[in-house]
Amino acid sequence: MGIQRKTYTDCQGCSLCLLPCPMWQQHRDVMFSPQGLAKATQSGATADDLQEQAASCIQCGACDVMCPENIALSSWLEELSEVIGSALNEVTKEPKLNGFVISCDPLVQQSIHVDDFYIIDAAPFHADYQRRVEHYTSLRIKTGCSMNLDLNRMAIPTGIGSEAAKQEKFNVKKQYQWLIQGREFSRVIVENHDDIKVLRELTDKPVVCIAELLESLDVRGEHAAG
Amino acid sequence: MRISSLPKDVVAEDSLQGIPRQQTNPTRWQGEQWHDFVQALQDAGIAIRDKHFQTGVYITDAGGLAHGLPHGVVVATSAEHIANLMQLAQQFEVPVTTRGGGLTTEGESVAFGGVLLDMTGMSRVLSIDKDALIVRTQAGIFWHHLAETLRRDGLDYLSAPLNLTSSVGGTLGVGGIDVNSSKHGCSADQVLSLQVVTPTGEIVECSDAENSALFERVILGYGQFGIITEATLKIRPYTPLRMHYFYYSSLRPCVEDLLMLDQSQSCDYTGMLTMMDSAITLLVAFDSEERETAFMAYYQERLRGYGELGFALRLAANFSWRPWKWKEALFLLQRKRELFPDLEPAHHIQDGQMYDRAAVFSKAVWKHWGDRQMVIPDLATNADKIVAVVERGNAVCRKYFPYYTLYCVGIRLRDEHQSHYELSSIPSDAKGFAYGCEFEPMYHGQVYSRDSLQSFKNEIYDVGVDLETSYYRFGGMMKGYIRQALGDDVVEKHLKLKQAADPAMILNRDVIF
Repeated sequence: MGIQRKTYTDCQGCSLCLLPCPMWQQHRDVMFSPQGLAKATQSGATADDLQEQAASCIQCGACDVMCPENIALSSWLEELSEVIGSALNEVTKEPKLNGFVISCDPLVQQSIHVDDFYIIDAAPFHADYQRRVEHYTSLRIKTGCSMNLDLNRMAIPTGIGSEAAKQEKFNVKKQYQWLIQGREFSRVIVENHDDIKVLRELTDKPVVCIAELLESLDVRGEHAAG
Repeated sequence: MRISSLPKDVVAEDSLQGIPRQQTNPTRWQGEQWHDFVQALQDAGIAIRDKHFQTGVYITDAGGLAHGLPHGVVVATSAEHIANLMQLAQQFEVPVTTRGGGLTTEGESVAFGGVLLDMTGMSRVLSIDKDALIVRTQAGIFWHHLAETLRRDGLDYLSAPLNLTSSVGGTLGVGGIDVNSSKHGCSADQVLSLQVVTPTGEIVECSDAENSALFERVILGYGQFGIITEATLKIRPYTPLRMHYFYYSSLRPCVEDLLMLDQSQSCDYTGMLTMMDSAITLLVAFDSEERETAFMAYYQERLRGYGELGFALRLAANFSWRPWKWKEALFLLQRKRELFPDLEPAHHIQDGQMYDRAAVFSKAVWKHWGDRQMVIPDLATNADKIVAVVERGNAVCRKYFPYYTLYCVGIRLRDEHQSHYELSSIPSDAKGFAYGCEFEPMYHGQVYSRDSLQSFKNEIYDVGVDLETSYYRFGGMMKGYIRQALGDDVVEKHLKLKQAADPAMILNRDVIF
């Protein structure tokens, strides 16, 4: 039986959800955060009042994991967006052969190196956090590569493909710049194929999708079932 | 004899032992000049949010006991922006309350009318000097985001509160205590220089060498003498932590061991964390293998604490003699089961070392100690009195709550910063080290009235009055104790300085004066 999740009325305002929130990171304004939206709604805001803010959420789901009150923040934000007619991207419908599954393959793991920068697809990672954080921690230690994990072990999302990015409410390029700031690497491995194009504009290092890595190992048939 | 120039308090004057009680929340500013002020702000291009749902976001602080609404909210964007705001606020005599992470517990960052200035709008790291180990940052930044940026270069701050949603500016204004404060001092002591907007709207760079009088007052100044907009801080190379826990079944030996370790400077991190006075943990940690090895070789055997197994056996024997305390035993077991995995999560541990300990502790603090209403009265004292402070504070906790926590750390003082400490939580009689102990109830589903919580805080602070200590959280609702702790002369001196610096007395009013 799953844990009973609370709703926005239970937000105490601890600000922990701001820490990994890419929307807050870009705006530096508490109104552009799950906490700000929850507290504003507690104070009588309507969906119309919060239209711009709700539409800026890229639905990465990090707030759900961070919230000590176990509030289902991303579901609530999704409902808020539906009310204002701005459906957020669907985040949990991963293809069967997704980045996580491929990264479990021992041969793929062997081809990840210490100087690689591995970009986890954030939304599915947060949706299945307990299981995946242990997997990626082990992968990082085993390979020595760096990853897009922040100090709280949340995946820093790129925002690519999100409705907010399509509506230009979220600056994807700025997010990529933050992602690679100060990092040293000789190759980027992404789980989401859509990340490749923008990353190639920002770095002169090779960028590959983990699915391509699998293909290049020519082991697809044997290893896809996982 | 009353020599204060402050007005006599009208609420329950004699309700506290020996001191007049200030009313719990200040009167709300009535806003006579508000509309003219807003017009002037608009003319100056300063955006203000005044819808109820916008001001309601800031209705309370982490304490959840003080509630107040500003007339409007301004999100800080630059020092010039704040300077303009302050000039107009002085002109129209509109109170301005600054807020970073809002992690006060006594309503210090709650606006009772006027403007709430949200400093988190200024939260970017401006420059990092990797060679000199210095960072320049905007002051509204959370320590977490500062750490996040520094870590990309393999660097870290020196010390910061374990709660990472504290802002840098807010912390520097009150002190900032970490489990490494016995080595590095309080967070405020890592500041090299500040950019400050004065209450009258001048932008001033200050340090020990430049505008030192302002620097002296703003550091640990509880936001009375200026708004910190930028800070230059000392930083260090990042190191993971090698942690060890020692368990005690009574407070005194643990506190004495803590004092001994701090004096020896043999550990990089020390602190005492308890579950009531039944399970007392001494945390020690190290930045390097060499330090850890040296400690294990000499100091470990001198500690009176047990390992986990030895302590569990002792605790079991203890409770078997006191079967009527079975509820407490169950609570401890449940707490151990829930808390321990969160204090050592596998994804933060590698080769026996903890990575990003502040993120781990911060999440655990909110998950296991956070609540809608949080009271964390504390006492700050010199090394000689800390055992008495802990024992007497513990007795007060026992009287009010079945479940509670004590958190005690040492703070290494800097002789050259004595003047910074004058009107602050650092007790004037502390030499070398000061000690702070927080007393925090764990509600465990029980609801307590606001009056009950206030009485608890008062009784803790009464212990301080009796033992002549200072306090970390002495502002806001607890400001009635300031004169007892610091003396009328010091308070009057700083009140005069405040009146000179802030003629309309608008900046963070009601926090201290």
